[in-house]
Amino acid sequence: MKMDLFVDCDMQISTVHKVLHHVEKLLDAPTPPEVPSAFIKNEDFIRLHEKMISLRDIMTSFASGDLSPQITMSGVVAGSCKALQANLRHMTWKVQQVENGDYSQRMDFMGDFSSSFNSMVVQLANTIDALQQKEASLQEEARQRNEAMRQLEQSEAKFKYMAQHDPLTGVFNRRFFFFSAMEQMERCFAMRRNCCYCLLDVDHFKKFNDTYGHVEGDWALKHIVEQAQKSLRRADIMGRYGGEEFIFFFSDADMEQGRAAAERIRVAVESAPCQLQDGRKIPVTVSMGVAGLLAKKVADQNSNILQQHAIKIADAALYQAKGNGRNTVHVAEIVSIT
Amino acid sequence: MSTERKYVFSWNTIGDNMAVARPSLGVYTRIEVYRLLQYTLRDILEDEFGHIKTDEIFRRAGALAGKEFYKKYITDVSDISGLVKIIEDKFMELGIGIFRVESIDLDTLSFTLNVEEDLDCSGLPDSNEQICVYDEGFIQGILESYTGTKFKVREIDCWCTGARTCRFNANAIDQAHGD
Repeated sequence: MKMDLFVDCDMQISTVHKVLHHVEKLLDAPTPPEVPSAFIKNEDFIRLHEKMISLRDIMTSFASGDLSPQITMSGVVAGSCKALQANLRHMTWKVQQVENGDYSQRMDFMGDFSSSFNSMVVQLANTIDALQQKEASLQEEARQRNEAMRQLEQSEAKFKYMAQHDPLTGVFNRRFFFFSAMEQMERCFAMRRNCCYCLLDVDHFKKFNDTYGHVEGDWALKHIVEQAQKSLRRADIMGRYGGEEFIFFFSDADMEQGRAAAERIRVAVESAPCQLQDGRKIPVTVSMGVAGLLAKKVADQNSNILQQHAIKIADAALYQAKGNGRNTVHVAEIVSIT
Repeated sequence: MSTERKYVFSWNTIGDNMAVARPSLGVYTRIEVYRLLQYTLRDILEDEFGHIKTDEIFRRAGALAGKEFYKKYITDVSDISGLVKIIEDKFMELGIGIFRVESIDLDTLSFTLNVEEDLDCSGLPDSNEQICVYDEGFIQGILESYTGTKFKVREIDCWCTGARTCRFNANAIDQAHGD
């Protein structure tokens, strides 16, 4: 009887050792142990085994950053796992808010992590604030620089315009007209096209000035320019030659086309009387001299000399037009330069 | 049963000038008093109507409270982050619990939310029952007020089931399917 008690006791101790050994393996072994055959039908043992396997899986998932496991157990350890899971998920959410620019996020749990998180967010907010201020200051600097550049470009454009245009009428000044007309003439000759220079003089302009004053005289010149420009083609060029004289370059125009172009201008001016400031309408007319340059005859000549010569011939033609009674067009051909 | 109403809720019903009303005791009371009220009320309601109906009543009351809470405290909110911040602060200030967000999906309007140190259940003995039905309604009321959409809120972990925190899943109800 006594021996039986000892045997029972030994068996119980052996069973406890087997259970403890299994629990230890569940905690320590890299791969979970199988349920020993002696306990395969023991429900309590199986429940403990499965619970610990679940906890192992949960902790392994957490350790690898996977917070998704559904914890279905209850009890203090499982509850702590749930709290840890909830806290880590909440921290993830907080970090996402910071990522989206909300630097007011703070934490007050998970000990050192919270204080580090809070310090980091404050530091981040300060840094971003400083960067934003810097960016704003740079943007302002860039804006001022752009504004200065814009004003400079505006001034440059203004000076360029002033250097190229007649301040009263807005057409090219004499120097820029010569430059532009020369380029255009060379382009015409390169394509074996004819062209014309033309001079315009306002008839009786001295008398107009003496009668109505120089202010009205200036106004009359602007009016004549306006009428003339309406009659020009895009490739034609107009400039102020001096006083009441204007000069034109007609691209791709033989003598007849040059005459027609000049005639259009003459008619336009004649049919649009100049309106004075007091409302009176005063008829004005112009005389025009055209010099035609035939490419086949003069294209090989020096452009500079050719231009001077063409203007001289146009001037002579203008003189002829004046001699013919004014308000008329006279055309002369340049055959060669002598 | 009479449908005549005697106490339709309004904030005026519960008084607001505690400095005059309770000059010595102030605005706070002990948590067991709150729970005494809730759990005795629950006791009688369960006795009268059964626990399913009682849960339903508590959830409806919670939803009403959530809506009133929203109307009173959440008056100026621009986005979900702002909403969460106000709830966090107000829950803390009023001692309701420590409100935390686990996840929010605005595309599907689904939320996982925590309330730690919950007023209703924190410290209760394990019972294998998710007991915070009033909280479910409360969260539902807030979310419905904010989104204008019907929500179903269910507690998935509770102090009473061994978790150290109360966790809630909140999902917009697909009204076309009724769930």
